[in-house]
Formats: sequence, C-alpha cells, structure tokens
Amino acid sequence: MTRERVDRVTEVLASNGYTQVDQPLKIGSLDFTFSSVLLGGIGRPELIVVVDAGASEELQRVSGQIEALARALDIVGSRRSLTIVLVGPATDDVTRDKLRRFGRVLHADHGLDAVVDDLAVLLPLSLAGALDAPDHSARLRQRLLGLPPYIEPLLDASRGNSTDVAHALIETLAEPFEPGNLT
Amino acid sequence: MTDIEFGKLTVTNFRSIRRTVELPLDGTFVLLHGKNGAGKTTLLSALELALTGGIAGLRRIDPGYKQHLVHHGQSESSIALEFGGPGPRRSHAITVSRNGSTGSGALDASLGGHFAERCYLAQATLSRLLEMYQESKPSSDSPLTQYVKEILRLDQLDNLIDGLHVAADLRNTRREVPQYRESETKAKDLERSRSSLTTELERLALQIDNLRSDIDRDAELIGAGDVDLTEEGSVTRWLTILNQTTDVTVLTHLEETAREIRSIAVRLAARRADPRSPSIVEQAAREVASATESVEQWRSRIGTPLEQLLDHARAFLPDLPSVATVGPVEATANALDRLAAERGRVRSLLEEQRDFAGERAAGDQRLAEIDQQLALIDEQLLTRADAAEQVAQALAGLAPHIHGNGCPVCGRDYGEISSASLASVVASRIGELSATAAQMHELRTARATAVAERQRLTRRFSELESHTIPKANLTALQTRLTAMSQISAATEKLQPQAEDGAVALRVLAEVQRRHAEYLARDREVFEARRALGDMARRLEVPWEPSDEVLSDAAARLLAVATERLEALSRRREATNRVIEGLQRTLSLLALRTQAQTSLETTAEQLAAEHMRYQEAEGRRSVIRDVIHAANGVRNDTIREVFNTRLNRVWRDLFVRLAPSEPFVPAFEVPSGDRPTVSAPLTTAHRAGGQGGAPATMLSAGNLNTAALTLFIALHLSAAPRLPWLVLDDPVQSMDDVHVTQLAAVLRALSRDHGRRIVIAVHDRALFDYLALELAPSRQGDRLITAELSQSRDGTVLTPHVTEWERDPVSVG
Repeated sequence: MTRERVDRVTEVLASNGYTQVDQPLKIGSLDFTFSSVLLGGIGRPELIVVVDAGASEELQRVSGQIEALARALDIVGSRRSLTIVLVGPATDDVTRDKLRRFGRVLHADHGLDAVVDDLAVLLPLSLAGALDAPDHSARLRQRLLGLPPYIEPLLDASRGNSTDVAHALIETLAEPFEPGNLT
Repeated sequence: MTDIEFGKLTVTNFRSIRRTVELPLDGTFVLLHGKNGAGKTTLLSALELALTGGIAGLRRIDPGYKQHLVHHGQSESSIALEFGGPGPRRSHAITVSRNGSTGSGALDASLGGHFAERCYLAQATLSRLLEMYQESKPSSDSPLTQYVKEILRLDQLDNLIDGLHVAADLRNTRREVPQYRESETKAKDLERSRSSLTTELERLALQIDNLRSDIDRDAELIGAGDVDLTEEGSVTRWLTILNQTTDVTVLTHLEETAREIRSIAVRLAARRADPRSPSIVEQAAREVASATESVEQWRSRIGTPLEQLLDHARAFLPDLPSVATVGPVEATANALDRLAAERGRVRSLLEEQRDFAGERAAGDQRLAEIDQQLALIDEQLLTRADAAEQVAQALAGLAPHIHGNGCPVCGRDYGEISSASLASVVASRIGELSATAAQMHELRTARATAVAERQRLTRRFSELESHTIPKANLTALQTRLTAMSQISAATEKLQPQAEDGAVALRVLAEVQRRHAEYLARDREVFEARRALGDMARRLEVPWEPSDEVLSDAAARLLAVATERLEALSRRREATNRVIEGLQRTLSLLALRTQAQTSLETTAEQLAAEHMRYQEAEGRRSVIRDVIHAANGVRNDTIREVFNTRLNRVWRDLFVRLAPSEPFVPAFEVPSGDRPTVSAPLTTAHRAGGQGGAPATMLSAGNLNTAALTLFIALHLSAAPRLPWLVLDDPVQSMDDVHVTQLAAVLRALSRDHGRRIVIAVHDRALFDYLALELAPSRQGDRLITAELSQSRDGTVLTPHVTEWERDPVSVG
C-alpha cells in the first residue's frame, strides 16, 4: 500500500520538473538509500527524499540517515534544500519534529487522490486560465450564433449604458411597424 | 508586464531613517532584515513614495501624514530610485519638505495605483485583509467587491440585461412600444371588418339564390330557358335580349285596339236604337221645313213690323236688344219697359221746367216788393236823428248833476226861458230821444231782413237759370215724348203675337237639333262599322258586319282583344319581373364584387398587420433569448471567475502554505438566476463540502496565511503590469511549517512567474532560513540580503549579494 503511495508521489514529482535519481544516492563518499529520491532541475534546488513512514522502526532508522544526508550536503557545500516526504498514515510526532530540523517535511497521508495537494508546495504554480480577461462579448456572440442582424445594435448599445440599450430595444421592436416594412 | 527593473534605492533622513542608506534592489530576491524599529517599513514606504508619490497605508490613517515624513530634526528628506534592466539607467528623485510637499511618483497614476493595491503588501494592508474576514456580508461597494467586479467586467452584460428587461414582459413592451397596442387595435378592427364583410357576402349570396328561384319560374313562363346568374356578363346579356323583345309594341297596339273597340261599344250602347232607318232623318227634315215656314209666316206678319218698331225705338234707346238676339217676347217686353221708363223721365223733366218758370215769376214779383220796402225804410231813416241814442245816454249822464234850473253845461238858469224845471225838461227829452232810438233800431232790422231776402232770391234766380232748358230743347223733348208714346202704343198692339213667334222659333230650333243629331248618329254608325272592320283586320279575326248586329260584333272583337291582351300582359309582367329580378341581381352582384374586393383588401391588410406583429413578437422572442443568453454568460462568467480565477489560485496558494489544514478559504460563488456580485468569504473542506466563515473555521495562524495567500492570489489574478512583489514582514504568527512552505511559494513565484520579490522580516532565524531557501538556483538569479540597524551615527544598511553557483549535488 505504502509502496503504491511512494510510486504515486514519485510519479507526481517526476512529471512536475523533478528527476528521480538512482540509488544509492552518493553524496561525497557516503551512500544513501530511501524509498525514492528526486532532484529538482533548473530553478528547483530541492533534494526530495521519499520515506515510507508506515512503521515507526523504519522511520527511526531513516531519520538517522536523513541527519547524515543533511550533514553530507553541508560538507560538500550543496545549497540543495532538503525536502522529506513521509508516506503512510502513522507518523511519530517526535521523529517528525526532529526531521524538520534538517529540512521541509511533507506528509502524504491523505490517499492517492490527495497526493497533489500534499505535494503542492513542490509543484509549479499554475495560473492557466486565471489571467484571461472574461470576454463576455465573444461568449455571448457564440451563444447567439445565427441570430438575426437586428440584435447587433442592441449589443453595440450595451457599450454605453442600459438606457442606450432600452432605446435601441424600442427602435428594434417598433421597426416592423414602420410604414414600408414587411408590406 | 513592463520590463522595468529596480536598481537601487537611496533614502536620506526619511521618517525613522537618519542620514543616508542605500539598498540595492537588482536581485531576484531582496531579503531585508532588521529588528523592530530598525526602519524596514520606512525603507519600503520610501520605495512606495518614490514609485507612487504617496503612502497608501499612512494616508488611510492620517491624510496629513506627509508633514511628518522628514526625519525628526532634519529640514528635508530625499529619496532616489534608480531603475535597472536593459537600456540606460535612469533614476527618479523625490524631495520631501517639512510642509509635506513631495514630488510626484515615478509611475503614472494607473500603474502607481496598481503597485499600491496589488504589488505591495504593507503590514497595514495585511491587517486590513484580516479585517475583511470579520464582515459576514461585505457590501457591494467594499474594496474587495469592487475589485471582484472589476475583474468580472459585467457592466456591458448588465447594461444589456437591464436595457432589454422590457422585452421579457408583453405588458411592459406594450407600454414602452406604443406601436404594439396600435397594431393590436388595428388587427381587432380589421378582424371585425372581415367578419362583417363575410356576413354581408353570405347575405348577398342568399338574396341572389332567392332571386334565382323567382327568375327561373318567370323565365320558364316566358320560355326564356335557364338564366346564368353567377356572373354579371351573362346577366347583362339576358337583360339586353329581354329589353329588345317586341312584346311592348304588340301590347301597346293591342291595348290601343281594345280601347278603341271599347270606346265604340260604349258609344253604340248609348244609342240603344240602331239608327239604320233613313226615314227618321227624312221625317226630321220635313219637320224642319214645316217649322221654318211657320217662322217665316210669323216673321212677315209680326216679326218684321216689330223689328221696325224696335228700330224706331233705337233712335231714343240705341242699345235695345233685337228679336233675333233675345227672341220676340223678351225683345218686345224689354222695349216696352225701356220706352215706358224713358217716357217717364222726359215727362218729369218737362214738369220741372214748368215749376222753375212759375217760381221765377213769383220771385220777380217779391223782388219788386222788397225794393219798394227798402226805399221806404231808407227814407224814414233819413228823417230821424241818427245820434238820438248817444244824446239820450249823454243827457242821462248829466241828469244827476242838474240841481235846480242851473245848467250844468253853460251854467245858465233854465228858469229864464221856461217854467218847467230843467230836470223834468231833460227827463222828457231823454224819453223822446230813447223812443226815437228804438224806432231807428226797428227800421234797421227790417232793412237787414229785406236785404237778406233780396240776396236769397238773387241766388235762387241764378240756380234756376243754370237748370233751365232752352226753349228749343223743350220743344224737342216734347216731340220725343210724343214719338215714344206712339211707338209704345204700336208695340203693345203687337205684343200678344210676339209669343207666337217665340213658340215657332223654339219648335224650329228643336226640329233642327233633332235633325242634326240624326245625321250625326248616322255618320257615327258608319264610322263605327268601318273602325270595327279595321279592328277585325288588325286582330285578324273574320268580319261579316252585315250578318251581325254592330254592338255584338264590337263585343266579339273586344273579347278577342281582351283575351289576347291578358295573355300578353301576363307574359309581359313575367318578363318585367325577370328584368327586374335580373337588374336586382346585377346590383347584388355589383355589391358582392365590391364586398369581395373589400374582403380581399381587409384580409391582405390583416395578414400584413399580423405579419408585422408576428415579426415584432419574433424579435421579442429572440431578444428574450438574448436576455437568457446574457444571463447565462453572466452566471457562467461569475462562476468561472470565482472558481477558476479567484478560488483556484487562492486554494492552490493556501494549500501550499497550510498543507495540513482541512478547510480552505474561498469566495462564496454567487448563485441564483441573476446573482448580485459581492465577495462574501467562506471555507470549503478539501475533501468536498461547505465550511463556515473563515474566522470561525481557521486558527489565527491560518487566518494570517489566508490573508497573505489572498493578497498573493489577487496579485496573480490581476493582469501582470509590474514585475514586483513587495512583502513587509508577512510571516507574523506563522509557525515553522508555514515559513518553510512560504519559501517554496516565493521561489515558485519567481521561477514560474518572473516576479522580483522584496521581503522584509524581523526574525533573525527566519531571515537566515530564507537566505538559504531563496539562494539563486539558476544562472542569472541574484539574492540580495541586507541588514538594517540604527546606530549612533545614523541608520546603517549592510547589503550582501549572493550570485548563482553550480550545486555539487546534481542529476547525473
């Protein structure tokens, strides 16, 4: 179960600018092995360690490794920002607080569907569609496609104010009654 | 987004900054640290002033804030902002005087406003954002609502929907577009007119049908066959044929024949005896001859002498009627009466003349007597004193003055001459004189009477003379009277025979009349026979008048004529009825054509009116669709803007900073048919489902996070016009977890959206942490860190620049 989550976390990160690295991870002369390890690309200084936190003994073991990893990074002069992603429901608060001393701790414990939320801070900030100014006129015209041309003056008048539209409306409705029209 | 980049900010004696500090701003991140009161906010407000010409946070608190911007004890402040980026460097300087005057900002009003509202999160602004959460229902003109409306840009849609609302309701449309009601009224009128014309056409068709049956019956009677009444042309042709028939002439002739026969029969009936024997006429002629003889005999014996007498009488009475004129009896009687009257008149005239002569003779005698009397009176008058009366009156006046014998006139003594007393002598004398005066009076009266009578007689003589006929004439009158008397006597002798003459004349006249009548009747019968013969030929019936009494023959011919006349009349009446029927049909057909034309015109007008109305209604329907579509677009836009543009970005940011918070803040999406736009805030559970208001659902730390992320979300949702994001100590009351997440968010803003971020913090550990986290991660990135502190010599700023270096831990 946790393996599946680890894979899901890895998959989400791998598809958002992070690259899974082969293990053991070699920092200086030391080797480190975790459930999964990813490195951010350009502009992403994160080193992400994915940890299966299902069993507290494992977490205990891994926290030691992470401390060692943090020291190793300092030793090699890396500015990588360490992010630990804990996968699994049971977490030990003490251990987690300890881990926070070495880096950002994320907890992916809300199910597969919520992984994106859990990892949100690592993911690109997408504003797709958010900056598009609403083009009512185009949308309205799309809805009114094929309608007769006499609605054009009404749409034009809406650029002014509602009184302009009301005047245009009266003219449009009165037009069929004018002499010479439809006879 | 503009490519304006910051270069360096130089601030001198501004607010809490004493002397001059320089802050390089040309980094990807500028991280400023200082303890509380070191001047971080002052430095950032100097940046705002240099860019916008004002400090919004201070303006909200104190509109006169500019008077307090110069550092205490200094005369003025100055701020210089250098701009970086490609191209020549330029700078903008502002000097602030103690009276509060400053220069304008480097940015125009629009960009300046954008910077102040969307790019610079002052501490005061963060507090204000938090206060917004306290409003359960933000008003429609709250800044947040205004901002939301601004990005919704619903004005045009609202104009359209509001302006078109009239079309949604027919009653409103009628009120605003009077042509609607006019068209409805006109259509109703036309429908009434059409219905009326249809009824009229049905009535006309019924009348034509009724006429057809009558015409068919009469047409059969006159042998005219079937008449086509469906169209005017055939009816007109039939009328022409019927009017040209000879029946009228035949009938007229037949009527004339019958009338003549009837006239003859009437005349014949008046003479019951059929005067076919000539003896009656001859007898009458004989009677005429006999009577003529009698008359002639009377005339020679009596008539002629009588007429001669009358001729004599006419010498005196010219206008006497003759015997021939008035008959012998009346002529005789008349002559006698007139002669008698004339004789009476002449006689009385003669007697009057005799009376006149006698009166004149008597008058002449009386006149002589009067003349003698007058002569006598005049003589007597001459002998008498004329003044006796006046003398007597004078003496009578003296008498009272006589005393004794002394004369009152001469004074002498009367006694000298007479023994009688003077008074008695005078009295005696007065008596004599009075007697003489009385006689004189009588004489004068008698004389006047005589004179008057003489005058009367004279006048009478004149009258008599004027009426007196001369003697010669009197003789003629006498002769005339004698002649008339003789004529009258002779006439009276003939008078008894005058009656005989009258009788003879009457008899003659009678027998002459009868004779003439007999002659006329004989001629009439002849004419009647000839005429009846003509009639018989005209009627083409046999005519043998010798075998038949003429009146019977007339009766027979009359019966034939009458029978034919009746037959022809019946036929003629039928023909007239057909003609009348056809004429009536023609007028009805004309009316029908007229009504049909009117009906067609009315139907066309009605169709046109309906078409106009339907077109207008069609337009109204389309316009309702437009309203519906506009409402749909409006609702879609509101949902989309709230969900995608505001809530999605906000949620994304909030979840990054508070990954363990199950509730996330959100704008409540307006709902309803046409929702009013406001920006009430709510929360939603991350797994789905609605939460309560943020203030009730979130911790103080997360409320702070919510406010910060709302600012960043609004910053991102506005069109990116400036590349800067300036945050003044945004992490107060944030725990470590939030802080680490914030660093990642800031990096993402820089990396993914090109923002250049200036951030001030007061916490040293946080500063150090962020200095690590925000270290350049790609080539070209720069991190500027600066320490701000106050010293005895003034404010001190120590900047440090970190450039990018390749990291020893990398892929591959």
